[in-house]
Amino acid sequence: MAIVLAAFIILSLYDLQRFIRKKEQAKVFVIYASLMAASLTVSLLLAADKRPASPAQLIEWILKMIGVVK
Amino acid sequence: MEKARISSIQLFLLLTGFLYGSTVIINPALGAKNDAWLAIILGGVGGALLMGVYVSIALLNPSRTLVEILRDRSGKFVGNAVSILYIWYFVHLASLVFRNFGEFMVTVTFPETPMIIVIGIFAVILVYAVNSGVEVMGRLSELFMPVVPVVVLIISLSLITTRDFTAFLPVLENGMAPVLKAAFGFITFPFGETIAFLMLFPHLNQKGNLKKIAALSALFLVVLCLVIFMRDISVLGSGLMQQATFIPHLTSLLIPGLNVEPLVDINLLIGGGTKISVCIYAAVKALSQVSGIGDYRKLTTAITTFCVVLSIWVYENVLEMLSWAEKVWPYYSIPFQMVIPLILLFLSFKKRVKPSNVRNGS
Amino acid sequence: MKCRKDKYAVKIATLAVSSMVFLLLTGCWNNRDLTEINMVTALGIDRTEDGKVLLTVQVVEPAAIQSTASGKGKGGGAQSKPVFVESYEGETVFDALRSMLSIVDKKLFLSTAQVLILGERLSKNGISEALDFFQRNHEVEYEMDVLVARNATPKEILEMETDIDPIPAVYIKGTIENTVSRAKAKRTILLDLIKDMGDSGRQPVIGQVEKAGEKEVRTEGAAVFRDGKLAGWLDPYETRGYLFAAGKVKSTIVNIPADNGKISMEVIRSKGKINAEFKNGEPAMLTVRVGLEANVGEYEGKGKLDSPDDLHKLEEILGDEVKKEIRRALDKAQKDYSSDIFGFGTQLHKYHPQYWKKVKDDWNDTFSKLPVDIKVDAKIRRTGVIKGPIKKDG
Repeated sequence: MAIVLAAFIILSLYDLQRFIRKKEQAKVFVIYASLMAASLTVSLLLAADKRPASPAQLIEWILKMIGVVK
Repeated sequence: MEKARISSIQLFLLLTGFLYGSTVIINPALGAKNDAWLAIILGGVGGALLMGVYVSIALLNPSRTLVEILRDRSGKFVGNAVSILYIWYFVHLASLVFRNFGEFMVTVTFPETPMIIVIGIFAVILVYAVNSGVEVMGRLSELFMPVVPVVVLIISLSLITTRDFTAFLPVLENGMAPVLKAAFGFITFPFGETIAFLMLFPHLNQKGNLKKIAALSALFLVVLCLVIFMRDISVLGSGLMQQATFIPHLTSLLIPGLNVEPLVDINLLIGGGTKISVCIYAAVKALSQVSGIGDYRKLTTAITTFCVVLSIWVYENVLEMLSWAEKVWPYYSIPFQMVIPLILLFLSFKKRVKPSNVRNGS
Repeated sequence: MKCRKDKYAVKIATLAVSSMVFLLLTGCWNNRDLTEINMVTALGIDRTEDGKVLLTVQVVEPAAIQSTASGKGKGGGAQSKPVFVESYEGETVFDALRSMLSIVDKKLFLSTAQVLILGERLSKNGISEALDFFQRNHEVEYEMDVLVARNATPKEILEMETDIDPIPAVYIKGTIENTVSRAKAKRTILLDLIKDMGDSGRQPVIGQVEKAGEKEVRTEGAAVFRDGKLAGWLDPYETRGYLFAAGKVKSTIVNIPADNGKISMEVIRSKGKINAEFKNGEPAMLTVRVGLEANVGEYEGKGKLDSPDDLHKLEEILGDEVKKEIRRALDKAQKDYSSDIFGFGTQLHKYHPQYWKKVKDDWNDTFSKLPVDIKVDAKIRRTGVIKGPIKKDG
């Protein structure tokens, strides 16, 4: 858990200081933050052994609903 | 738009590396068991046609990336929406290849290393490659891709004495149905995935060669897969081949007195690396174009991080990965690889016919 | 100026980070030095009476090997033996292997194992379950030789201390490798065994090893399996007949009677082919075709050996002799064990898939009832340094 957090903090600090120095548009921050937040949430859940249903399962489920996959 | 240019040979190598990618680990054509060679040939023909569709789209819309074509042809809103789906698709594909790679490494080479470390370190290098730009990726493929067929040849020739060349018999024991199914799988994985190259084609310096390049790389892959298949089945026999988790690795273990196992890892690193970096590049580039951010490099880290996390998240175990690639992936890919591109091709033709009547009626 | 310094610092930092990555990339997470592992040279598995797995390992001590090699006779290495043998019981092979660490100090490293010896009780109960581990584990070499111990447990075989080689496993492996010039033992490597186990058209045959005294083993003959279970044994001559039919004879000595004595023929080349002849969609007859080339190796007697005709006569006798051996092997396989060790089924599967589908499930019984036609074409090429045997004129 701590390692996951540390990795994310290092990564985002590295990028954010770059962004701030170059005075990027707000949307860069928004997209960056949302992607990182999503990754962080999932990886924290994974680290805590609470694996959320994966997109693969979701896709499989949808395809089963449509009836292409048995 | 960046002015990076890649040469024909570089694109050919990138395309071949992309196609070769993780077929080292998962080759859907092998679902046809003894008739996989037939599935490889049929799938190769179909795959080449599919790549022809992508190339035609690129030729009808010169200097345009997939996102721009989508926006041009179907309006800004629909175009952006479909582009976002494609971004997801590329991210998903990259994370699948990450997972394949990690799963392979953890099973055979580093059994006690946590998979996230293997994937993470690989990702660091790929972020660096993607951020260096298309030109660097092209040059890297020039440097590394020639190794791939050499490795395949080395392993094949080392085993020439311990073979049963009739092992692929009988032909069509279970009829055509499984062959066609496997061939279809082979079209979607890896040929259909070259849709990601629509983000790269604008960088080619000589547009005229595009068709030839695509056809050649498809041919090259078919030949390579046939050699690998014939080697594996004649060494392992069909029973063991169906049981093996990672077939080429098992074959390479059998070379007497020589440990060439790392060569298979190298091949995987090269093929998988090419594939992932192209996918990440395509995803990041598309994302930056959809959101109107000038330089794609800003988002590479974020996207790659997401890919790495997704790669761990996506499957619980190795068998899920293998069966998903065989059973779900082909159908999941149909809209991305066939439906949307065909619509796009149709739209591009329609739009082109109108002005061309006026401009060059000859 | 400041900007340039910044760039310099970034470059240094990048270099530092990337060199750390290189360190990580090259090293294994679970790197273990030679001093931290026990190198297993041979493995033995057997079943206990209550169905558990009894695993025996033979582990080599590199340091002791060196002292025996250099200080032979000096008595310096007297207290340290080059190998040690340990056994442990477990529910499965892997369980036993790990549990054994309670009596062995270092982790057991399997990649160096060269011989796998299967016990008789295990073989009778079925070997496929116990073999799973050896296919699945990434450390196990598929080139490892497999043998079945007869009239002895694997432990007894592995515990034997021989004077011929400091490492018994190397000695055992050497004797089985000698089959290239004897053809009286079947050499089976793990890969072939696994292939045969997964092929419903062919039953595995594994070489046999037994004690030949206090300090030697003998690898001769072979064990016949049916559906993964030990069905019976082939004696050395039947084994050779089987090997002739399977086309696996490299070289061997066949003794044939001749005028006033006997001749030892050295087979130098041999080809074997099996097939099935079809009539009305059913196999009417199985065929074995063997072609071999031989030299006269020794003539113990007083006959003459001058003209090509003499050789032709001998060729016929040699052919008949080999044919007899093949017939014996076939009879055993068909009548006694009802087990298609030759792989006729595989041949049918390849070339007559439709028929094979029908008989696949009880092929061994069908096989036992089919007549077999054997043809051996022997050619004698050379007679060695001299022609006929030496005799006084007259």
